[in-house]
Amino acid sequence: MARVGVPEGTLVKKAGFKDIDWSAWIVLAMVAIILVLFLIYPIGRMLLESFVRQDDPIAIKNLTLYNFRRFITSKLYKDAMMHSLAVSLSSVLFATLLGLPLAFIMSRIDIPGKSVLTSLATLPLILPPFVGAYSWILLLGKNGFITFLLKKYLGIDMPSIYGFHGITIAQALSYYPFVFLMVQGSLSLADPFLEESADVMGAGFWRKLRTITLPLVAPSIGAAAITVFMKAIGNFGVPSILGGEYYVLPTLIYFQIVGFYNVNAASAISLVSVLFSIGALLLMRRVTAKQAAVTLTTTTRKVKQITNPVAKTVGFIVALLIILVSLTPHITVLVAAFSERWAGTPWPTKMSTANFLKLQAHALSPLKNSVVLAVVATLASVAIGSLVAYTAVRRKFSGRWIIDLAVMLPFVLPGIVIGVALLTAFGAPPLYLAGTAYILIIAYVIRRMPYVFRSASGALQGMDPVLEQASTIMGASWARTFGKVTLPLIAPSVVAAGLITFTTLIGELSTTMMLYSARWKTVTVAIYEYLLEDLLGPACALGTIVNVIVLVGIFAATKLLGQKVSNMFGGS
Amino acid sequence: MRKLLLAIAITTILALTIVPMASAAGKLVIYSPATKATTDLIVNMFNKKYPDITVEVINAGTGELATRIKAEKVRPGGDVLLTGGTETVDTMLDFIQPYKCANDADFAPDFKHPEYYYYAFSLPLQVFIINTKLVSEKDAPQTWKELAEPKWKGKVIMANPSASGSAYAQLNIMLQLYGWDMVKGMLANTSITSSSKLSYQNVANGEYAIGLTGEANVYNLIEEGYPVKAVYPKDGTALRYDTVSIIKNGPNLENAKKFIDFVTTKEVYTLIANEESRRMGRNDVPVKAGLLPTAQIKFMKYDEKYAADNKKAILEKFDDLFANK
Repeated sequence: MARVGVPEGTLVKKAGFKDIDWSAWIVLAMVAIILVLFLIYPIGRMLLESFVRQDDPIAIKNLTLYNFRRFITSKLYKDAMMHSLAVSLSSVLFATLLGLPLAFIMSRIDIPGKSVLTSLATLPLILPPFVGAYSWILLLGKNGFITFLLKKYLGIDMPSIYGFHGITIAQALSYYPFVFLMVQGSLSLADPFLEESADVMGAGFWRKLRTITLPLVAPSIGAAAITVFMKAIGNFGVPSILGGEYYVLPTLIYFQIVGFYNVNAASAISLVSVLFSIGALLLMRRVTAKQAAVTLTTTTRKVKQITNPVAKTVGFIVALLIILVSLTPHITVLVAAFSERWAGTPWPTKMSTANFLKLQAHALSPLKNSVVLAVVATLASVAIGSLVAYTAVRRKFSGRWIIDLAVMLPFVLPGIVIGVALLTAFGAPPLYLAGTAYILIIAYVIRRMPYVFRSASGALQGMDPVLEQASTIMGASWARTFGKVTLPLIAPSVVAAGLITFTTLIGELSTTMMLYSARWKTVTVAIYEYLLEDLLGPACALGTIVNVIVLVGIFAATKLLGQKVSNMFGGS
Repeated sequence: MRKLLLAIAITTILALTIVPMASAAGKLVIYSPATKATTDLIVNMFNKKYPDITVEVINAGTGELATRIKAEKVRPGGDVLLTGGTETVDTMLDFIQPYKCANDADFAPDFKHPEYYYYAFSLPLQVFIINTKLVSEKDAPQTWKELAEPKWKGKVIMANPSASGSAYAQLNIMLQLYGWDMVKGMLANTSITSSSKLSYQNVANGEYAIGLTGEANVYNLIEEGYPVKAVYPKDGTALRYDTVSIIKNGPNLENAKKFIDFVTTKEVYTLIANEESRRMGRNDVPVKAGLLPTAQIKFMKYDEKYAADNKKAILEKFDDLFANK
């Protein structure tokens, strides 16, 4: 294996020491060290912790299922497990009910303002979900704005927002863009010949939908559904604000950490939650493997659009309604940012910019911290993620699936659990990192690398290795080939994934909660502190600033890259 | 490759700029479950006296801060724990640095740890907060026992004692007065929220009629114009206090000592009493006008050591009752 990428036994003369391409091995070693030290060690250690009792060292003789006993003995635990499943599945259902029609309208009906609508539909992915969750109390709480209007003018008494309904509404509306973007992506990639053939054969609209279009997009619906499921089952922020007494698994993890500092019990609960997610992930791998076979297209021709005026009008109205509903929390946050006081009254009592002025006292350094941490972590994720993807895709060695699984693991672990894992691993010598910026950056990198990894792997899989082989055969070193051939070809996907990484890091809370220090307080922690004290105005003002930063960043990047916002998110 | 190298170079440069600066002489890190308003007030005053000391504050729940302090035991990030309840602080004395402060003589023996682990800051008396638009003061429950009466079903809110120090105190008051049967009845009426701050916010906002909370929160909400009142339970509340203490091996011990000496003065406690409606841990600081005088409040016999020692068992039992309610 002297020359990378060259099929063994072809063209390669016996390699001497000088011929060995060290750059490839150094990079491989770096990747291995980073993965083992910062990913496999902390998470592996945490998994082991779930099988020993609190304060016992990890050893064979201490292994026990004690930490799992409450899943058998306690109704609270059994209920929370069922709740987690129920609320995640219903989030999937409603996200699909919103995302699917929108995807169909946007890709098949010729409606005006498509690119603006698409960008607006992508927005809910950007706003930190816990800020959005709070705004639902303002809208649908007992004293909420919508509750007030419904009662006053229609005499309708709304059921309580707390619990199953509230969590489902907030999560479905935050996550439906995954369904929309993924399904829209595969709809617009689908080979128009298939649908046109059906037309020629005389199939009606519904028959065509049922026999051609739906089967075509089914794999991407499945993939999107599973993404939403994993996001929902690991979410702490929304149930903590809207759950009330409806406890889910992350609530129990939080209580174990905050109430008892019982890492072992928390790990055990996480493991149960992760088992559900891993099941979903395995399902997704099968689904996406099928998808690749179905959506391969032989033409660059766009699908024919429906131009019937009735369909156009109805399509436009439905799309607008879906987007407006999903943007309601964002608009609420914006209004609340300019209200001096809102909570407890149907209307804001006074409008002003006072909330923004209040931010000077606490929010300036968190804002700076968040931007610095997110930029550094994004660059690191991009660099490491694309190298890992390269290693996993291009090197044909057995056990490659280990890299795949290791990198994707943080994607299915609740953020709060990754925080705990890192704190346990690096809260004591020899590598003491607690309280530093480094531990936050490491957490961010391992949590978000899956975006870059998946996006870069996808691009690499779709790229013929012949190009790289040509370069190596011509005598270029591995490093030169990677830099001159591979990187430019996968750059668009990697940059897109980097942007998602950046925007979602600015809004990251659940891992940060466990790892921030007084020096490295982030903007989300500042927002959370405001929310907990009912300082809703400053919280929303800060939330608005975060949204503006993210939007400006994405806008600038789309201009630079000449890509649409939706493409970047759809690409992940 | 050049772009990749550039990216790595930029990352390295940025990473270097965030190398933590050598613990500067003029810093102090406060961990506190108190509100931002309270900590801002104290920090501003402290900085008037010590303008060169940069103060950083983490505001979070008692449980979360205790977790943080335990997790950071090798190299603590905080210097001072301000307003941690005794039920929690007593379980973590290993992480606390005893310090006999300059104002030690001004504290009655009831209001400090005998070995100087902590001093009393304020007395967070647990009371009922009622929304007067939803229930009149006259009709509101007057005792803990009444909270278990079926007529309050769905009207009461309290925080989960697993997450909140004050809720754990409320649970122990009820337990020590009446035992688990009464708690079971109370649970049937009560919504349990995951944050102590939500328990009074939700009453102020009209989501619930009655909440269990510390009295200062009620008076602060009254001053902000919310339609709420405090009801002092006639069967007694616990005379307990939250504390000021130094975190062991913190990065700025000398500044932490300066802070404790400063914050425990009559001057500071008086200001907090008036600005924040808190009842303070020094007998020479009178309660703010408008607050019920301490002499008129009925206290029950509260065993905080029992509460601290049996926390795990009590909370597991609570979880089970909660799940089966």
